[in-house]
Amino acid sequence: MNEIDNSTPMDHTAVIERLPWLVNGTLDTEEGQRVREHLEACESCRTELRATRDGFDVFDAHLPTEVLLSHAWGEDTGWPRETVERHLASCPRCAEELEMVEEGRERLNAPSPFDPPRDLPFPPPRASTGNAWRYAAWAATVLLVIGLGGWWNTWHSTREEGDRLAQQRIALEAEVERLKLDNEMTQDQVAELEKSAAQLRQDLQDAQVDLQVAETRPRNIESEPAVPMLSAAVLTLSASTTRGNEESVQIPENAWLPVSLVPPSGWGPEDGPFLVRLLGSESPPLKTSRDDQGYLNVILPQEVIPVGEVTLEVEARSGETQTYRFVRSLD
Amino acid sequence: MSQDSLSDSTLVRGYVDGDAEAHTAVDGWIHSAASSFRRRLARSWEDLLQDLHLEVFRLLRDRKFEGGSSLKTYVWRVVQHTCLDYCRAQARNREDEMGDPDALDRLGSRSAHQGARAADRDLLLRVLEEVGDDCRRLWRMVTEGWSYREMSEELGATAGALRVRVLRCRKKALEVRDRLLRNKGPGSDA
Repeated sequence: MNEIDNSTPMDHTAVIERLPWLVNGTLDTEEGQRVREHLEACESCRTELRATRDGFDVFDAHLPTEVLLSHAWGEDTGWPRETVERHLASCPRCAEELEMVEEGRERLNAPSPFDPPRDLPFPPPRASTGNAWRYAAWAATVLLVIGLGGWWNTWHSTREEGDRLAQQRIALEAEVERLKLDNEMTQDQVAELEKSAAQLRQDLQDAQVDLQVAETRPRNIESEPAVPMLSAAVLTLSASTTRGNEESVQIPENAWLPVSLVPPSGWGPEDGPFLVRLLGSESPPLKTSRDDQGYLNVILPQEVIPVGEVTLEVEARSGETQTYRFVRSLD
Repeated sequence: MSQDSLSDSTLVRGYVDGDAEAHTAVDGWIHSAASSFRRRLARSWEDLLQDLHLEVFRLLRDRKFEGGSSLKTYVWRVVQHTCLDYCRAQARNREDEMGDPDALDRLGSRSAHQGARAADRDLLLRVLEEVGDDCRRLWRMVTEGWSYREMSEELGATAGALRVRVLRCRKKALEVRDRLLRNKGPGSDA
């Protein structure tokens, strides 16, 4: 319903109050046209339009990229820390970006399977931790025996003999230190290799998931030979997507749309199976479960997806629901 | 020079010279460092990766890596910076598509204060702090592209009252901005 009388010109106040929505492009066509016509003829309202656009600059201000990065890396940002934190607390966009940077930074510390071999030489695998410690223990025992012998000899024998034993002790101490050093390098290397192995296992799991997704495509195509799968990447939707930022997708005629939904953080595998409904559609709900990466995957035939805003509702076994939106644009 | 930096300089040389092992290492890092942005940039992911490879290659070729950190850390930082800029550029493009900016420019170009957007972003954030949560919330909805009817439904206010509140918030924000700019003065660092 339009609240304004379309037959009379819009006054200054009505125009000025609507300027934010003229700028964000959400006024009705007719309403927008009337505001524009008024602006063409009114200098004072054009001044208000400039002020409105300045308002967008103020209210859409975000932390500079370098400040956000430095904050995430625990470095001095050059800005008061409380200013940065207050903004992060009130700005979902910067908070989301910070989360992505921090998540990426955690990966830096994990050894990558792509890391080149270190230049530092280290003992071959056969010089295992156990053997090295055994050598060290033997050396320590010998050192103790010789040390006691030295003490006994200095007490009972000549001074020259005592000096000789002291020199032997120094040499053995050096040998113990060398063995300990070798041992530490081996332990470091073992830990590094274990981390690399963990990373490789994770990569393998990721690859298996990709393979599963890829394998579903030919099967679907086989079962519905006349229905090609949409060739674009899987549409990934998050419930936290803000209005106006929805993904927009074109779907060719007779195509299917694979969709991956990111479930709320509180939903685990035990909350499934999940029912996915296309709101406003008569089509029956689709049943799905979390995959290995935690996504809820469904494949939607294009004929049930309306053009414009599309809302998917996911219902957990508990009855709790979560909605996701995307936009189907004209083909 | 430490062993690590020796290794890094070898990698940089190898990467620029097209050595396969060096490319495997550095490209793997690029992929890992960017992966946390993959969900957000799903549609542009492949384009972004190409840009990242080009950017890292350009920086290493031009000897921008000075060894202040490890090469891996440097690559990580470059990748995260580029990804963030990419996300922000996409958001700006969406915003610019909202309200036909060319037509708006014809009616009233942005004021001289628009330069403050980049140069004095700390000042704009201080303005935001002063205007209060209610105004920030209202205007966040506006900048995200809500119509006033959607906003009035969401917030349980009449459309007329909502429009007045939004207008008052804008006036208040620009008053604060102008006051802070006056206090700052030309050439002042305060």
